[in-house]
Amino acid sequence: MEQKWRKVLWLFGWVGLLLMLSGGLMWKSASAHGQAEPGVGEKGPRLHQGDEKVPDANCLVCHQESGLRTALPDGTPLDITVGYPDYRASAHGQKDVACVDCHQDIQDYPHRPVTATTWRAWLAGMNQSCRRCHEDEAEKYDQGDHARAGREGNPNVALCTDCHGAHEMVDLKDHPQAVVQTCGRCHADIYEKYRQSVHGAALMEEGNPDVPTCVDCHQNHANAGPIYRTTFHLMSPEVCAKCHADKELMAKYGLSTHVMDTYVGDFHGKTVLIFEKLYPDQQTNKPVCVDCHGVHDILPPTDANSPVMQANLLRTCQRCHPNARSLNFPKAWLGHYPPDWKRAPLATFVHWFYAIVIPLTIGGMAFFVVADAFRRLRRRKGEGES
Amino acid sequence: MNERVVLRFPLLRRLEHWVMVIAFVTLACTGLPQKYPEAGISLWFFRLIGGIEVSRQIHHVAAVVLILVTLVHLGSVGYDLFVLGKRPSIWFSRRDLSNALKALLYNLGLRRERPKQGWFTFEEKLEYWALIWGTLVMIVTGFFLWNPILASSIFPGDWIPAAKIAHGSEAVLAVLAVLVWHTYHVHLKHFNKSIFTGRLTEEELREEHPLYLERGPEPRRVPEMQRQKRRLWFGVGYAVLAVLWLAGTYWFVTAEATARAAPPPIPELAHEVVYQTPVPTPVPTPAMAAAGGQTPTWQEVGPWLRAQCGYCHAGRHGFGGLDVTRREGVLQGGVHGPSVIPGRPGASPLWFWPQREDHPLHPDQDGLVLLWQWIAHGAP
Repeated sequence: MEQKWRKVLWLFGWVGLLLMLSGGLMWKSASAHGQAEPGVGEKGPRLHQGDEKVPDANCLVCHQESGLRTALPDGTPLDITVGYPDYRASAHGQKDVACVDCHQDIQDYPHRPVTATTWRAWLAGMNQSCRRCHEDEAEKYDQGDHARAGREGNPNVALCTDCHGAHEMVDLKDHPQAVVQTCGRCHADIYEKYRQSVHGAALMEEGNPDVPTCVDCHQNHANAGPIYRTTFHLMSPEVCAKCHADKELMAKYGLSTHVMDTYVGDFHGKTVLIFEKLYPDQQTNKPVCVDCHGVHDILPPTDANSPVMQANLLRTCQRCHPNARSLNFPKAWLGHYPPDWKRAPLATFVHWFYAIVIPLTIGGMAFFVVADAFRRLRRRKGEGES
Repeated sequence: MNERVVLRFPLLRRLEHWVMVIAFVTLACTGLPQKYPEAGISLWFFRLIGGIEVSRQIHHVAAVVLILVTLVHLGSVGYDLFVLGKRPSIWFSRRDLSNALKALLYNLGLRRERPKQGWFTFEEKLEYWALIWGTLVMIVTGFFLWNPILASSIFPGDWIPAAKIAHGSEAVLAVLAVLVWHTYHVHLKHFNKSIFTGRLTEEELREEHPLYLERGPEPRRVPEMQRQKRRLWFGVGYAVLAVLWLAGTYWFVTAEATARAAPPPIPELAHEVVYQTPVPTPVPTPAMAAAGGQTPTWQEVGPWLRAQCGYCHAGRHGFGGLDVTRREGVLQGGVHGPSVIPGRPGASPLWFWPQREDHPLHPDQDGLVLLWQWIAHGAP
């Protein structure tokens, strides 16, 4: 008998347990489908309530703690303390852009695990947030050489935040010196050269706003250079001419504006011009401005270190014309000046000789020919009448 | 009226004319677009033939043809004058000047009669000598443009731009003269076909060369005996001239190569492509102004590197295969390639890598200035 009761008890126990489990499950699923308690998610408390944005204060509960640090899967340490006062002073902070507007992937606590394995990959992912508001800039960036190098697998190319900063974002407009320093953070060699050039020295030491900064030649977002673009070399004279053919601007510094027309008037410039117009993606062996004057280290032609300074000119020519050994050879180039009686008397004489002889000769011939034609017409008419 | 015809141009002259036509038109077509590269028609022409360099090549070939046809003409004229003893009927005389004046006065209605002219009219003589003058100018100035290095080793440098102006202006003058003078006198006024057929009709002679009809062909003045002798002398003389001329042409064409086939200029940026893009993670550039002009050597940089980096990167089993304790080790670098590119500090991993955020330790700033200077001076 005792055995029987024991079996019944066991059965009751099992059935009760089943009932309790199923009931519990039903209650649980009902509560999940129904109205959830506000602020409490499946995994824990949610950071935002309904459609409202997560207030920055929620983030700052943790992220204002100093010395906060985590690590990416590859072990790269990641500082996650935010200097909130600095952020409020930044371009975004002033416009009340919230933390989660950029940190799109973070909506819950605990945060979703980071999938990027390296620091640069994580940054690249974060930079996608910029596109949501800055569409035009993003589109231009995609056309630029940084983006291209990035697509080709270089993880180190400049992203939005590399130039603009993230939390301490500043507007670089009207701060040419800051622009140059920003580029210089990566392109340090070029920065050092530029700083000592005639343009760079004027900007960095005197704050002269007339001189070109990096982006005046290379663009800012759709940045371009000769490494990826064969067109860049050919069209570079136009970049220089933007300022150097500007009479008003050049008058300020007493510079000649004949640089472009004298260049195009000679073999080098003609060839480059035609190549640029017809075959912009082809290379020519003729030099453009920077091939003689220097690029980032450009100096005035009066500077002893300038490749176009009188005494250095032959050596500069020899880079392409190794056989040129006579000091007369560089003098074949009249130095961007139209010929005048003082600098090139013979060329000026020839110029004036033909300026007089051509109209006189052709005019005389035309006069004779027209007179002859009229006389013949008249004679034929007279013959016809008589 | 019986159709008496006179042989005006023997076959050789007609051939010379044809070659000259082809050379002249080719030279003008390939040359003028170079003088006016910005004109729309020039661009159209360059696109048609495949670019300005192709145009230059064709121009050079046509120039050689012109130089050679000049040699042929010198021979045929020399033979006529020296061996056959013909009068140099193309030579300008004072009579031509007065003929020109009379013709002009007649055209203006100030004279009743047209001047009577002989075998070559003053119009033809003007055209001929203009061609001779033009060819001479073009060959001489063309030599300057073709061989500027050679030319400037003999003549002052500013002769080359002078030659360029002369070459271009003479071309304009020649083309305009042909368009005005030549077109009118042998195409418009009356299509004179004698340079193609070699013959002039009596009517044409009466119209243009009445004096020739009156006086008849000039008698041959050199007796047969003497002519044979002269032919021999002429043959020898012309052979010498031809050899010299051909050698000169060869020299003209090949004297120098670099003005045309120069290597492309090496822009500074060509060196910018290194095995690593400039700098992975942004790092500041050192304040170069603060550093003196002295060149640091390995004696100064070495100990600093060993102290800063030697904990990990020392010996054969240094991290990443990099050994900073020896200069050779630094130059050789590690698994990612050389760590120093002499002269290019900003592109040298040794300078930028330890400043990256993912590098465990960061070197001190003063030392970085030293390192920059050392690499910039070629890592001595």
